[in-house]
Amino acid sequence: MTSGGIEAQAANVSSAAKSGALIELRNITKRFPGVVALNRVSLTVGHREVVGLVGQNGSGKSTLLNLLAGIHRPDEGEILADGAPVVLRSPRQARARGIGMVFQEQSLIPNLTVAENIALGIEETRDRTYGRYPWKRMRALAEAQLEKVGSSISPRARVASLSQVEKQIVEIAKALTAELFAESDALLLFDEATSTLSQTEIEMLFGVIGRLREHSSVIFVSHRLDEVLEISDRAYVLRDGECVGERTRGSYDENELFRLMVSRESAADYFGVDRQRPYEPDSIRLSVRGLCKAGAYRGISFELHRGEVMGICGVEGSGRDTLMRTIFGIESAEEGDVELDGSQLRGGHPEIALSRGIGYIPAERKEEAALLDMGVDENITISHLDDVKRGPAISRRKQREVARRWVERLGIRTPKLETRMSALSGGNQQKVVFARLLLSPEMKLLLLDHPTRGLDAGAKAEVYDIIRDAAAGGMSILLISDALEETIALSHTILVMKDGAVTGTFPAPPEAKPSQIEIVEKML
Amino acid sequence: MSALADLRAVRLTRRYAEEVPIAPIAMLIALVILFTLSEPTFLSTDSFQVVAANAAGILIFAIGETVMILTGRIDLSVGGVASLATVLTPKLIPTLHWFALPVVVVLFAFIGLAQGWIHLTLRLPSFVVTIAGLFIWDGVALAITSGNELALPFDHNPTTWLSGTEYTLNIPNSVIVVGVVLLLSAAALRWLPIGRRIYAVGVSERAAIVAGLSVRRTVLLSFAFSAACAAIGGLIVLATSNAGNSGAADGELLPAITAVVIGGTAITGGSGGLGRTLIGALILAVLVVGMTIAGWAPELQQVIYGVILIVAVLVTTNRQKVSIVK
Repeated sequence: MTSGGIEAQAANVSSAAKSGALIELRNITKRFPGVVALNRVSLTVGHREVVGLVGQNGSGKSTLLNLLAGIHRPDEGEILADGAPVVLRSPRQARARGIGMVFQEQSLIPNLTVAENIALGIEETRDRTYGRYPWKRMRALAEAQLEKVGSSISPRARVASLSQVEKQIVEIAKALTAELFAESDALLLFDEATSTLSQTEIEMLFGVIGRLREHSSVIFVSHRLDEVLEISDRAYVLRDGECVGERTRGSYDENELFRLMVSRESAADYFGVDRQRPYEPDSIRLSVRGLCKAGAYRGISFELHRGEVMGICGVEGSGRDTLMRTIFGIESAEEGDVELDGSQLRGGHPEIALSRGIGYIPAERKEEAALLDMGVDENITISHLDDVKRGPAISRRKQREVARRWVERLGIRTPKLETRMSALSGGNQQKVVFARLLLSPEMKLLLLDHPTRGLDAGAKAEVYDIIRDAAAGGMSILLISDALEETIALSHTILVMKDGAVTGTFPAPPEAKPSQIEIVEKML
Repeated sequence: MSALADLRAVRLTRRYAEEVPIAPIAMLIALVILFTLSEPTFLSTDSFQVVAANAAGILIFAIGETVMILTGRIDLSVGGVASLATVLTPKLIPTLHWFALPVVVVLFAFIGLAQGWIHLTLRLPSFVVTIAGLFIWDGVALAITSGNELALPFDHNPTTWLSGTEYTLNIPNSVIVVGVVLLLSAAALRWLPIGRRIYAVGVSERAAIVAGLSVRRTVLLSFAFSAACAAIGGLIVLATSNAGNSGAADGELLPAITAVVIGGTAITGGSGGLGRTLIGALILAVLVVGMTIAGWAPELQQVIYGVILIVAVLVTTNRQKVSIVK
């Protein structure tokens, strides 16, 4: 154990450095295959301070938290706790340092009770003598933890029976067990903790964080600026894995942070705004009327024209992705109808949608789009096997021809046509998924759900080109993206959704793009 | 290190289904060498015939099972389905004569279809539906026979040609039948769109849905195919034992699944294939026949069989792909 010496060292230093930073990151670099997730990032968290961390998706926020939580380890740089370097090899070691993570994707086990979940992995609640399950001790611990966040949730309740915000509070109470181990103050990490909560629930959560400040420090990560502004004493801005700004409370406003978050280079150039062609306002491709689905969206009506790109903006939970999945037929609506080129579209059948010329690129590329264990050629042709048949059988020669044509046209970088999809980078996988749809001459409407998620800047630009070309060729496109600047730049029209309803429509011609602030106002 | 990376790169440029199953083949050769050293007569035409007939009996069930497992599902009903075939066929022979054989196979495809329909429509896991099927079809067989054996007629027995003792060109007829089924289904898996769909569903069902494939039709067909294979297997069991009864083929399930797994087809679906299953069935047959020919202590054969199974799965399956084993 090399950490033994370090721990002793830390104990010596901690009393001297109490007034300094609780946690400090120095020049941290973390690489994943193909990307530099964090590039020489430095950050400090003081005692009893709430630090905000903002940045677009893929800017490195989650990676940074995972380093602190002991899930990943930095390739370069060091982490200091109370002035002494520490190595965090596992969540357990992080907890021993007083660091607890409130997970974005809930880490609770639904079929266990609140008490069991909070006590999970804490040796002290185990009965070593008889190996009995020490219910009393666990409940006492859970009660004490829930008390700290001012909650009266019963430790006996099963997690599955709790509401979303109650689960979040249990998560916090569980993360707070880190306090029991820390010699110094605890540090709680909140990763997009609000993304699944309603406005009143968010206020409750902020109340809890306010209480936490009395005895611990917090890092609060969100891509919603208003939240970060409201809760943080200090905020860091990350962009493409680099720290591009640090502001203390009162010295920043939303506009300034936005400018820091988005790329400095000329946005219009990057997105090719000058290549936006006017759509055909007289030819309606998709007509959606009064579409409703309980718990997802309601009263959705809009028209999409030939050659038009329509961006749908809204926060997570606004219903935009369920709406898109309904049009493709993976989900079904309860009311309303959808017409494609003037004739009704039967819902609930993706294969029918596809045969009518509707293609869908899902947000979860690895789970829903890429057939990772199959070849690039097989992935390209899978939706249109009839086009590569000779007689009843698939012709390998035709399959290769089609695949080669599209590999060349979209510049897909793959060693061979039959290379397994899993060997390709995210950007090239995405181009394969595009090729699968574009190869059909009957393709009329593309539904793109976060088409650039997880791609680097170069691959994103290539996807923008594909979208521009498809629209210029007369295809209609519905686009969802978390990057607002991207949606604004690519779209002819912007539809804003909030809590399942359309709250605004903005025309977005190249010469008069709406501002992000205007759109965000309608989203929140 | 870089040589290893190169090797990995080469592997990825080939579809898993088309990779030569080196480890299972090596295992098979090792077993043959082992038994030949132990008893040189193991390398005789006679024992080849026995191994082939034995392997065919396993393989016919394993072919259907491979297709089911490729879609990410499993069929545990094959023993019950085959047992029912052994009692239904003798009932049908008096009226239909040799025509009873194809009728039984087609009829049983519908039984599989029904199981698939229940699995999809009621959204029950395939292992639950088919394990229920195992009980139900065995039970139906029991009801038909009232617990007795149904013997085949002595003359004009249309199943005799399938018994292990009838040969064409020195090859047991059952081996020829199973070989034809194997070749046809391997060709379908490789060249027909249905084959591509079976792999796609197994690799990622959600991605297959988004790609516009009819998962439902693909899965139904797999269920029907597996039950039809089990029916052919039942006919072979019937021809060999000359009588049918409930539970007659119950023991065929585990060797079939074992053959698929030893061949290196992933139990999670989407990767593997019938070539691998053929090698897997041969490994099992060589093991059983070899131990007998080599005269190893009969009371220890089961223990050895079990130990070798663990070794075989250890060396033949692609465990890189499995992060969690349960």
